[in-house]
Amino acid sequence: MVCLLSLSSCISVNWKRWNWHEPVTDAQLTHLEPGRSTLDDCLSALGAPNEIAEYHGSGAALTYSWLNQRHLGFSISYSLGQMSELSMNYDDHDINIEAVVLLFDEDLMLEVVRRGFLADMAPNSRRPASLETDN
Amino acid sequence: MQTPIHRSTLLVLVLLPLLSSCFFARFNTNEPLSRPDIARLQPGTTTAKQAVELLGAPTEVVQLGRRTAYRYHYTLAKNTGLLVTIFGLYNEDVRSDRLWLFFDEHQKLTHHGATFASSNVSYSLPWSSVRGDNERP
Repeated sequence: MVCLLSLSSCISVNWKRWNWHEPVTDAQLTHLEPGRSTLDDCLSALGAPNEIAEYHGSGAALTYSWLNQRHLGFSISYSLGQMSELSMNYDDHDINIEAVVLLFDEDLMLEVVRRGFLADMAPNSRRPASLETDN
Repeated sequence: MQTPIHRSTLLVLVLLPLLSSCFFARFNTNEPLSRPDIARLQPGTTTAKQAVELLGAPTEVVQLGRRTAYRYHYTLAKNTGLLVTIFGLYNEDVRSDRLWLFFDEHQKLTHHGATFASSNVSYSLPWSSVRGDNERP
């Protein structure tokens, strides 16, 4: 015990978990059918999305995202005197937020359902389309 | 004369450093959403002006061509941390209540969707299961 306490300033092992929002299950998506499901159908099945963005002018991209990730890391440091210190850190800290993105056409009819990592799918942030030039 | 140290006192002295680093933190973002107020929204009837009078200013307004979508949300996060000698445990649980209102070009409410999940947030440690896993309304 004394040894462990004396090591606590130079060695640490960390176990972390992030749990953000609720995942969308495959079962929830089975009732949604591109070309047939409406915006109301999707909102009833999945609730309110985390984000909404413009899609092809008057369409909409609804993003449901969540994170349930565990991570184990450690760090070691050792002082070599007053002016130098040796340290090593293993911290695989990539956060992969999962998401389902629903794309709706201008009539707010479901067009596409995508599932994957948010970083790969989220619509790029940009200025809203001009009303004179959309469509 | 020496005072004898009881075993229980010794045990407390040994365990005390183990309890020196733990924390519980709670973070609120925005005000909780009111279910009764949301129930008063009527698609086809409620206007954007009436919605704002009822619910206050939205946290975000998104333009969707000639339509607009208003976002309301209340987020609750509970963080737990524990440091036992060289072992650190950390957990962050975040849930939110969300409401999106869709208005047409005449500022009439056409659709709305709500999620109430903030009550599922909990203080927990990395190995424990938390309420609300695999749930969505």
